[in-house]
Amino acid sequence: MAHTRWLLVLAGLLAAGLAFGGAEQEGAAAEEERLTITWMGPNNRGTLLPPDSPTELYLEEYFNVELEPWTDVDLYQSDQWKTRIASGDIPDYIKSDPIGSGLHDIGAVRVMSESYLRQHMPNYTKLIDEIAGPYGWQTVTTGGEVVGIPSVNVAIASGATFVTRRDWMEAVGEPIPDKRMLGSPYSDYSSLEDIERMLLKFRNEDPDGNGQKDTYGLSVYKNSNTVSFNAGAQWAFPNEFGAHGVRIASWQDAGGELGYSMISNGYKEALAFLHGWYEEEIIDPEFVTDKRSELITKFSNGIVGAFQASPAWTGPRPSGPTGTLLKNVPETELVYFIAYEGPGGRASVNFNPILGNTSIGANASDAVEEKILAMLDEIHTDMELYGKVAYGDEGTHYQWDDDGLLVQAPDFGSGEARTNQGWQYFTMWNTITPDISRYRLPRWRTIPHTIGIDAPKLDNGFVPVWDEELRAVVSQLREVESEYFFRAIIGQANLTSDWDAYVDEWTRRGGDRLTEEANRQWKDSM
Amino acid sequence: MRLRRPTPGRATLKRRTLEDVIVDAVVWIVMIGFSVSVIYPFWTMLIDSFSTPENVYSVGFRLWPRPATFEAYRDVLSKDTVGIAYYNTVLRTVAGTLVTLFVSFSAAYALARRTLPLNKTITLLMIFTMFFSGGLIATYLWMGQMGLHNNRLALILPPAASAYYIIIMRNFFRAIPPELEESAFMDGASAYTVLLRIIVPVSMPVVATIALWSAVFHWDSWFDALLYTPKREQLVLQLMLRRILIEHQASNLLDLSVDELESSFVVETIKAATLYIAIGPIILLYPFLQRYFVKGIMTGSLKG
Repeated sequence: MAHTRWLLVLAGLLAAGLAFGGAEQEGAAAEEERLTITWMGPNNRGTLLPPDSPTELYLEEYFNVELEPWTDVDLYQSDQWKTRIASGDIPDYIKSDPIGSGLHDIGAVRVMSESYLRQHMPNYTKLIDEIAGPYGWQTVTTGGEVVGIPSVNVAIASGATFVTRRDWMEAVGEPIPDKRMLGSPYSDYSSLEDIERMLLKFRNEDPDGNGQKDTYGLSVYKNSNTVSFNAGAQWAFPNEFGAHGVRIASWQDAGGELGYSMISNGYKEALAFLHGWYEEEIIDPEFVTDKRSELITKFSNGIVGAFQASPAWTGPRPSGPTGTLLKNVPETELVYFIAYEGPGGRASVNFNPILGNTSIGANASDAVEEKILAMLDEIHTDMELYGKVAYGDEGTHYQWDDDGLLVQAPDFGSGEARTNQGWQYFTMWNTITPDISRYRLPRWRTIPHTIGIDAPKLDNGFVPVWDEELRAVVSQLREVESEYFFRAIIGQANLTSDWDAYVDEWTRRGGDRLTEEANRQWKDSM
Repeated sequence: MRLRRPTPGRATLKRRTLEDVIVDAVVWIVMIGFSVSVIYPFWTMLIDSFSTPENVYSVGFRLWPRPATFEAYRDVLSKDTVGIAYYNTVLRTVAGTLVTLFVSFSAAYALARRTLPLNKTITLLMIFTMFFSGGLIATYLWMGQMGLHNNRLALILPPAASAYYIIIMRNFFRAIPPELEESAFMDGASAYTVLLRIIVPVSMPVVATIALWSAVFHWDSWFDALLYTPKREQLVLQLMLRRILIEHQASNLLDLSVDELESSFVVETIKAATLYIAIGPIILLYPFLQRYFVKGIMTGSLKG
């Protein structure tokens, strides 16, 4: 009996030892397992990533993974990578919006859930919540399923800024704002009347002193005639609409029901107001057909006195409209205005901060998916790691200047040089790492960002997510909206007699379905 | 200024009427207007390519670049991708054109013989391909199965057999008097001798025409290169040009600092210089092949 007991104890110990040893071995094997991840992360410069870039090698070691980046695709060649994906060759990580690109429709991306993302990207999702709230999740949700990783661009969550030139303001006797920041005078408060008075003088009081009435107050800086792009904040008179309480192409709460801003009475009033400016010749009549290159010519050669756009374009740049003006007229300086007071209150139009969602490919295994999410979570919330992946080595490729801003070494300033290093290929589109994005990027040197971020802005409203059929309707309606926008401002459409016909056409061509679907989603989200 | 050159015979004696003068004047005005409308955009782009960026944005009409600079060309030519793209484009144009000519000539010569078995069936099948294709995804998959992904042959083999070229050539061959061949055969020439010593020399107009079309096609193509040979070392000129001209026009509101925006903002001078570097050689081909061009296309199109 005693022998039997000892034998049992011995057997037990042996079994435990074997089990322990086996588990240890399994653990070691798991530790050593090196996942292979195919990665499609094109940058937006159209330059191709070379194989074995320094960043790729660094991340492989850091995360113990084998990265296989798609080195032959770039953002703008969507025909290329969509064909490849549609043929079944799907990368594990896809730096493309799963809904907008149609990848979800063809089953090329994995369906996740909000809680799953929160579990595997705890730090990143916390930032999304802080910056965008539920709005961030709406854009990656379709049919009740989360199909992508939301992304937020903090830096463009600023109002569109209005920029003009000091020498013209002085020539027509307009007061120069006394606030200064980063070398430029600016006004963070003005009224629509102030702006109108100044622009009228630009037209009528010969600001260039050549004795001829050949100048205009305002024009637009656009590369497309689609008025509703990014809520019109890019070029479509954002501050004028903002002063009328209108955010273009937005779904706003109108007394318990969502209403579309571009068929609202406020929109109609703002169009009538802009038509008035057109009639008074404040607006350059060629604004309908002009594109960016024409505006650069006109602003820098004293034909147009002001424009408004994204802070990225209105800031003092080496080239573009502002840079070319400063080269042509070195003695002048740029003057900024933002968020005028108007009949609809005081607000600028906010850029949409949700840009560049990404997704996990349908063929990725669970382990690969979890690894990718963990990698992205760490890259985007650890300032040191983000700096390394997006900008290279501190001291060699970039450094912090006295103001705490990130300055890149001159040899690594070009898009090609950056791509060769593999920077920004393994990050998502946007910098949301708070320590970097909010304070330390060079863009914060520019005054429009600095004042734009704090300017009062209209609420973005509800952002519905459309299925493929309704996306086609939206696309068609954008043509209707853009055409009416131009015709109303230049007076070809009569806002009194034609307005109802425009609203009817909008409704008839699918607007009613959009309204119904937007309201359904809105109520579901509450 | 006279439009019509006097020809021997009665026409030289005929006096020009007022109607002739008016018609000549109208024709000249229309043709000059048309020529200017075609040449002017090329000219302005050429001026832009030799201008400074600031000069491009100056107001008013410019006939000459002031000041003239080679800076844009220096910038473009300093990129190593230009050399790669030139190499790949010249390679595909020369090889592609030769292969296309060989395949088209051989197929058309055979189809020109009415005695060829299944002649009509083969022709019908060829014409079918002019109207219907397998579609993008199916073609992409098939090319992969043929081992043509990331393979330069993907740019040369698919366009080698063009139904359109073959029909043009076939019609040309059918227009050659059969007595030419018959007399050669009677003198004891073999089929290959007839082909090489008689048919090929008299076919130069249509060969030159197809060569020009094929060369222009290969020089201008980018979509097949985008799909099948997308790697950096396989880059072709038109793909490089497309990237520079179109893609950087995006507003780049994503993760770009001001410095990054600057580097993505390709100035007009660079675009213009790239354009000329990309299209220059193929434009220079036209004058040398033009004399064959009209004759070849007319002969091939109207007969058969």
